[in-house]
This record gives sequence, structure tokens and C-alpha cells, in this order.
Amino acid sequence: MKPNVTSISRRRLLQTGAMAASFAAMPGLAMRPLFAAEALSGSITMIKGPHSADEAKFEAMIINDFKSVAPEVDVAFTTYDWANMNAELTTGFASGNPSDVLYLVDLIYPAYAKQGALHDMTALVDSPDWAAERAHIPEFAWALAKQGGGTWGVPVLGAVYNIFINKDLLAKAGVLDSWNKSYGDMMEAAKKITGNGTYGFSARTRTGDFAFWDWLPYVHNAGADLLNDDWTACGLQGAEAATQFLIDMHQAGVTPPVGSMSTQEQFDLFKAGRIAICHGETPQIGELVANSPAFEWDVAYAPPGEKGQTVMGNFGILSIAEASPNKDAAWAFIKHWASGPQVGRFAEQVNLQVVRDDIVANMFANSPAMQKVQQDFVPRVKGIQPHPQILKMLQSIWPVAERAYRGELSGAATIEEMCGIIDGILKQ
Amino acid sequence: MPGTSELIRARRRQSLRRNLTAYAFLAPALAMFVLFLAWPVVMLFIQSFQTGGVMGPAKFVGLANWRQIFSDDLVRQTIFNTLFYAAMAIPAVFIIAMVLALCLNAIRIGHTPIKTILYFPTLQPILIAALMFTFVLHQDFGILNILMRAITGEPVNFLGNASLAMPTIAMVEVWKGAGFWTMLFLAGIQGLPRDLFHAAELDGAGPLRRFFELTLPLLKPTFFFSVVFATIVNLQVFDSVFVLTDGGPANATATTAWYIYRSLFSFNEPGYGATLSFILVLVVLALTIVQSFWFREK
Amino acid sequence: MTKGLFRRRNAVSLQPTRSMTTIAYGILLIGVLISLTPFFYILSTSLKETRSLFSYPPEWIPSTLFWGNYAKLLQETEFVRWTFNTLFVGVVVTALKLVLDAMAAYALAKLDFFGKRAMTGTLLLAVAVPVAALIIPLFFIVRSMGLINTWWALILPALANPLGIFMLRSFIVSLPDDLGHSARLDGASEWRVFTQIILPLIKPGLVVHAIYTFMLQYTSFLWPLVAIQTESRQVLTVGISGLKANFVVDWGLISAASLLATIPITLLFIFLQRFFLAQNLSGALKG
Repeated sequence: MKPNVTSISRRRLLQTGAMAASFAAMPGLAMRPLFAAEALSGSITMIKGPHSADEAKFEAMIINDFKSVAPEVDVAFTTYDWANMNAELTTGFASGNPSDVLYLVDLIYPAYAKQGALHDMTALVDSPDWAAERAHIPEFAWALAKQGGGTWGVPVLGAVYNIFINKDLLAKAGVLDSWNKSYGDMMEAAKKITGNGTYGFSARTRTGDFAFWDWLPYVHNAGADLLNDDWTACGLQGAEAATQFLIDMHQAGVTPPVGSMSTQEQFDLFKAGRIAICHGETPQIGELVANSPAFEWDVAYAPPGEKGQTVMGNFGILSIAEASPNKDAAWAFIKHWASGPQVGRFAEQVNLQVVRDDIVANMFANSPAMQKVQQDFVPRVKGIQPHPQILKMLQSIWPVAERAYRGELSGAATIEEMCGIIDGILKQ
Repeated sequence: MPGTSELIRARRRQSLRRNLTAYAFLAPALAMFVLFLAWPVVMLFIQSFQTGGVMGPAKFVGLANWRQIFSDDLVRQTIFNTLFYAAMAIPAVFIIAMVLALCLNAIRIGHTPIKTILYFPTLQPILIAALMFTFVLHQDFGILNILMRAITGEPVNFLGNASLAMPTIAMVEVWKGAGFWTMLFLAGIQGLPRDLFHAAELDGAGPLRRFFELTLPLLKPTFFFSVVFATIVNLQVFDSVFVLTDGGPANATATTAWYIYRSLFSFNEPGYGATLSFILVLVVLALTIVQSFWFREK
Repeated sequence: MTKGLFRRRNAVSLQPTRSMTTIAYGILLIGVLISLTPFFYILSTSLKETRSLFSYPPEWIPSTLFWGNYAKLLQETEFVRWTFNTLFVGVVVTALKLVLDAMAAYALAKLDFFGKRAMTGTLLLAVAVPVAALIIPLFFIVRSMGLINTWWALILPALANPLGIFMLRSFIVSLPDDLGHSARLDGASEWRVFTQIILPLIKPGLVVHAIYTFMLQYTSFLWPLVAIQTESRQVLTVGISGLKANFVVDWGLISAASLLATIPITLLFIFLQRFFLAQNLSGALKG
């Protein structure tokens, strides 16, 4: 039964492809054939980490809309636990029966692509009937999805790590306009504000919080990155001064005691008006909009470094499992999920950024902060280098930074030790 | 002599029957043991000479994993951390549980509700315990820091200070474990021969002397079981580390079981994880053997 | 009757003086407070409408009680389902393990057979194997049996650990050998000796074993996480952990779930408490 179904749907897909090509010239009609997947049938599952306590509800909306695209396809949605995503995904793949559609973050996507767990989607994303959609996703995002000569997924969402500022505190210290001109200005502002249980600055410091997200923009601003350009050796040389600056910030007494608070606790303290410059992430904007704090706040990013002013961001990628028996339906669902109306609505619901650039102007009409992030921050995003062992590298070097933040190492010694670890991993 | 051979045959039959009966009793548990414990351990051993094997095909790498273990500083540190943790947690939980058991033994009213409440923490999944301790340890209004500020004027950075993080993990585990050991020790105390205590009391032995000269020596078998059991369980400490610190800060709470998990599921190195598992088994075994000799001598 | 009981207790409990009793109650009170205080924090959080972990200034006793977290938990999540699953798997595992371990313990304690020493040694060694390490090989075995994502995946591997065998064995070892002799001379089978003479005598041991097994099952996390992939078949610990979204966590909801999750196992403990009478349990600890 199964091979029959797929062969029919393949033929049908080819037909729609041909139709799409002929309709492509007519505006307005070009979209329709893309999603004409009426002939598909069967059931597929999608797995994703939750971006909201209401994740299942939001996914149900997307799945419900998919019914009008492919009425014969049933989509079941499940979640993985972020803290254990690798355990769940790995065993899912190993079971031979993984979810058909997988939402993977860029931190782990390369490893699964390399191990052959994902379906090579190069032909799918390059097919002419999807070319218009493909063009809405910028090249830097596609570059991230490329691994070993193939494309294994469609980049859909971005999660930007921003800074929250308490404008009242900054204004009172007279540094509202100057605090982010340079690292020195930020230090000075933080020092002026700190006192009486109020802190000038905070960044993630705990391993469990993936604290490296708040260190990386400073590294990138110095023109450095974890690896050199061809990924053959450590590329952190150049980030010594930037790392020294963060060490100084944590040693200057302008932050909560190093490691005493999780990122959640830091944000709670920010909401209480007791942190002026607080590293965070954009989904927290929703919380500030819903329960507005007793002060003026805004979103910002780190001051410029020697080589630029970047913003850290992660990407979420939709992939198809190589073991999926119903790849046609899975691809149809990914196209649906990644389409402007669907991904746009979801991003608004959970306060994340979209990767596609055609819907940005209309998004977050009610949230100036999110608009600012989407329009001003996203173009500045410099993500991670998608090396298959990037997670291992980041997790292995972070303990060095933890010692440095506690005053045990200088910036130069930190970078040297980190490079030793990274080069060691590359050699294995 | 036909009689003798008849006898031998009868004995053989009898012994065969005895063996069959015994193995019939053992069979169901043994089947589960072989299938879900012994066989996985064999697979683990094979895996320790391989790389990959979870999602793609496995590749034999000889002794590479084992060699890497000996050059990996983090392995040494995790073994040290694990032993450091056990050296704090086991004596602490034993002393606290013994005191609570003696107190429970000394009271008559309210036994059941007090026992139930003391056992409450033991019943909590670590995830929930960790959530509760996020509150308890908070620097502004965690109850422990309210106390610390009252005493020293300064809050304590329980999980962020590298030299306090492991003692804090031990504290959470002691909180969780005390109820269980209290029950066990109470059972031991109440099972001791009463007449001896009565006689000692008539001889004028005070409560302290009775405890050190009667209770403790008589509880030796309980202690042996408990020490071995506690060692095995505590050297596998993982959950609390995983949810509270994820090995940090600066690897101060990185335990061997935590490193196994990380190798398997963060680093995608099942072969290395398998090798680490064997190291952990060897450490546990060595300690168990030392303990049994120590107890035998005393 | 009451008087007699009273006298016996008096004689055995070291005749505590009044000051000693006062000290004992004092220490126990501290123990009770330390055990309960952490629960107060999540009780308070579960009754507040907030997504933050901490609000400043803290309002530990909410001025208005908010029940929405409990309502949401029961209506919008599969919490009831997870509870049922957990109890179901827990009860099945406990019952099966009790039977298997008691039988094996009886053989190890009272029967003679070829290879007894070697087997006892092997089983003892196996207790030392770290559970976290077995996840991957166990996963492959359970997968090859086609049991992933079924109840059996949770039940069968839980029966393998021999610790319970040793717990029960030490109870049986302490029983006198001639208990079974007369029955055997009367022609009773070994099975009858086991079920009718031995089992009733080690009831307290069986209860301890049951509580311990159930508790282990109830708090297990890692194995159900990887072995069960359908949310409606999941157990409580994994289900609750899944309520934690990325970035923004609904702490009120999680606190409510954590508190409700403790109710069934506490009830079970109170129910079994009266069996948990100690003097009989001491047998477990000699061996």
C-alpha cells in the first residue's frame, strides 16, 4: 500500500511543479500551486522544543490550517524537553522511528546532519516551484543550513539575545545616551548605578544557562570567533581584550555575585528595577509587555568592539528525518509551517524572530520593542559557526570562562586555555 | 554392589531435582537480569572499543577510548568530585538519620505523622526538589540566606561559589535522603534485643554509654548494609547535579555519572561514555571491597 | 491489654526521662520544619498568577488565592493522564518485582544448587552498575524487541536490578531453617513452603521492598524520557519537566504540578506506614 501512495503523490507533485512553473509569471496565482498537496495522505509527526507554555495550542493552529492544504494528512505534534533535547532526539533517531519533521536548533543540527540522520533536502529546497519562497530566506541563513555539500533543513525562526535596559536608572545616572558608546562607557555607567542592592550590569554566567551566548557578541565584536575561517584551528585570538572586559565587569562588583543567579533570576531582578543593563532574550519581551514594570525599559545590544557591533542569535531549522516513511507529506508540512502567515503568526505568539524577510514589515504591530529587534537587531545577527562539534567546544571551554569571571585568569590566559581545548577537539 | 549404585542414582536424581527446583525459583528474575542488565553491560564493554554506533554504524577503534580516559583531566576531576561528594553526603546523612531515629525511638506520641513528614523529601523527584531549592538558596529571600544574613550579615553564593557548590549539592541530597535512612536505622534500633538494654540500665549505664557501648556495636550489620548501599547509590550521583548546576561552576560539581551523560548525549560519543561507565563501576567495586574488608576486621 | 502493651513499651524504650523526651521532640520538630519548609515556597508559588520565579517584594502569603494554575494543569495539560500512567506502571512494576525478587531471594537464601556462590557474587557485582550508563544499550535491546513507546519498555527493564533480591534475601536468611522441614516431611512442595510459610513471615520485608521499588519507579526520569515518545503515554516526572518552555517558564503551573504530584505517593506511604513497623524490619539488616 505504502509504495503506491508515495508513487502517486510523487507524480502529483511533479504535476504541481509543472503547474507552478507555468503560473509563476502571474502574480497572485504563484502561491497557490505550492501548497496544492490535496493528494498527499497518511500521518506524520513533528517534534519541537516548546517556546511557550502554550506551544501545543499554537501548533494546533498551524496543523489545523494545514487541513485545508492537505486534508488527508494527519499531523501529530510532540515536544522534547530542551534540557534533554539531545537524549530525546538521539534515541528517537536510534529507534528507527523518529518524528518525520524535526525542529532543530543550529547548535545540534550540524551533528545530526553529519551523522546521516537527516534527509538531504537540497533538491526540495532548490526545486523551481519553491523558488519564490526560498528567495525570501536570506543567504546567510541558507549558509547555516548547508552541511557537507547538502542542505538538510529550512531555517525558519531566530532567537535573538538582546540586552534589556532600565531607562529610568540610566537616566538618573545621566548615562542614558552614552552607556553604549563603548565598553568603557558601559563600565562607567554600571559603576555609577550599582549600590543599595541595585546592579549596573548582568550577563549569564551559569553552564546550565548556556552562558556563552552572552560572551559571544563581545568575541564577535572583536572580529574573532570560535574557529578560524576554514575551521581548522581555534579562531579566538583577538578576543583577549573583550574577554578581559567581561572579567573586569564581573570583578568590579557591578553584577550580582558571579554564578549566584540563573538568567531567569537575573531577569526577575531586572523587572524589579534592580538591574540597569541586563542580558536576556527576546521572548522575555512578551513578559514585560504583559506585566509592564514600574519603569521605562527598552531593548539594546552590546557597545561596538574593535571590529563591529553584532548581536548573538540562534536559528531554528525544520528538517525531515532520513528514516521518515512519508517525506512528501513532511515536506508539504514544512513548506506550510515556513510559509509567511504561519511562521509569522507563531513568531508573534512566542516573541521570536522570523528568518524570512518578506513579512517583517507587518509583524509585531503592537510591540515596538519586537519591531525594533526584528528590523534593527536581526540584520546584525552573527550566529554560531555550524561545526558538527560546536556544542562540545562551547561546553568544554565555558568552565575556563567561569574561572576567569571569578578572577582566576586574565583575558589572554583565558583565550589561550580555550584555544588549547578547541584545538584538542579538532585533532580528535 | 547394586544397592550402592541405586543409592547414587537416587541421590543424583534428588540432586537434579533440587537443582531444578532452585533454578525454577530463580528463572524469572534471572531472565530479566540477563536480558536487561547483564547483556547491556556486555554491550557497553564492546562499545568501549568503538566509536559511533548509536545513529550510524559503529567503528572499532581499539584502545583509543581507554587511552583517552587516562589523558583526560576531567575524568580525574570527576572521580575526585564524586568521592568528595560521597565523603560529605554519606556521613552527614547517616549522623542526621541516626539522631532522628534515636529521637523517634524515644517518643511515644505522634510517631506516625512525624515519620511521614520526615519521609516526605525522600518521595520527591529531583526535579521538584531542585525547584524548591532554587527558592531556598535564593540570595535575597531564600530561607537559608535570610538565616545567613542574620548570622553573618552577608548572603552566601551557594551554587555560584566553586568551593561551596558541591557541599550544596550534598546538602540537597542529604535533605532528600535523610528520611529513608531514618526509617532504616529506626528499624534497626527497634529490632535490637531489649533485655540487654534493660540489664544495662539496671547496671546504671547512662543513655550515652548505652548508645556507644550497646546500640552502635549491635547495629553493625545494619551499618554494613547501609554503607555499601549508600556508597553504590551516592557514587552514581547525577540528577541533582544535572538540574542544579550542570557540572559548574568551573567543573566543580562535574561527577562521573554527569560526564557519562554528557559524553552520550551532548558530545555524541557513546564509546567514550561506555568507557567512563566502566571506570565508574570499577571505582564503586573497589570501594565496596575495601568496605567489606574494613567491616570484617572490626 | 492496653496496660500490658504499655508496660512492654516502657521496658523496651530505654525508659526515657522527661528531659530526654523534650529534647527528642525538639530535634524532631527541627527535622519536620526542615523537611517541610521547601514545600512552602512551591505551595505559595502555585497559588499566584505569575510567570516569574521571584517577585519583588516577595509575597509569600498571596493576598488573593489564584487557583488558575491548578485549573490549567488539570484542563489543558495531560496531567491526569500522566498521573494514571505513573501509578499504573508503578503498581505493575512493584507487583511483578515483588514476586520475582521474593522467589529468587528464597532460592538464594534457603535452597542448595549448583553455582550458588558464583551467582550470588555476580548479582552483587551487578548492583554496582550505574543506571545512567545503561541507557543506550538498554535502548537498543528494548528497541530490538519492538517495545519502544510501550508500557513494557518501562516495566521490563525495571525488573532487572538485583538489589531487591538481596534486601529480601536478608529477611529470609534470618528465618530458622527448620521452619520448612516439617512441612517438607509432610510432602509439601517447595512452592507451598515458599508461599504458605516463608512469604507470610517476611511481610514487613515485602512492604519495605514495595515502597522502595515504587519510589524508585515514581521518581525515575531519564529512562522514561527516552523510552516513551508519545506524550499521552508519558509519566509524571517527564511530563512536568516538559511544561518548562524555553526562555519563559510558567513557574506557577510547574509548582502546582509538583505539589499535586506528591499526593498519590504520600497517600501510598501513609497507607503502608502501619506495615512499616520496625521490629520486624530489622531482619533485613542482618543477613
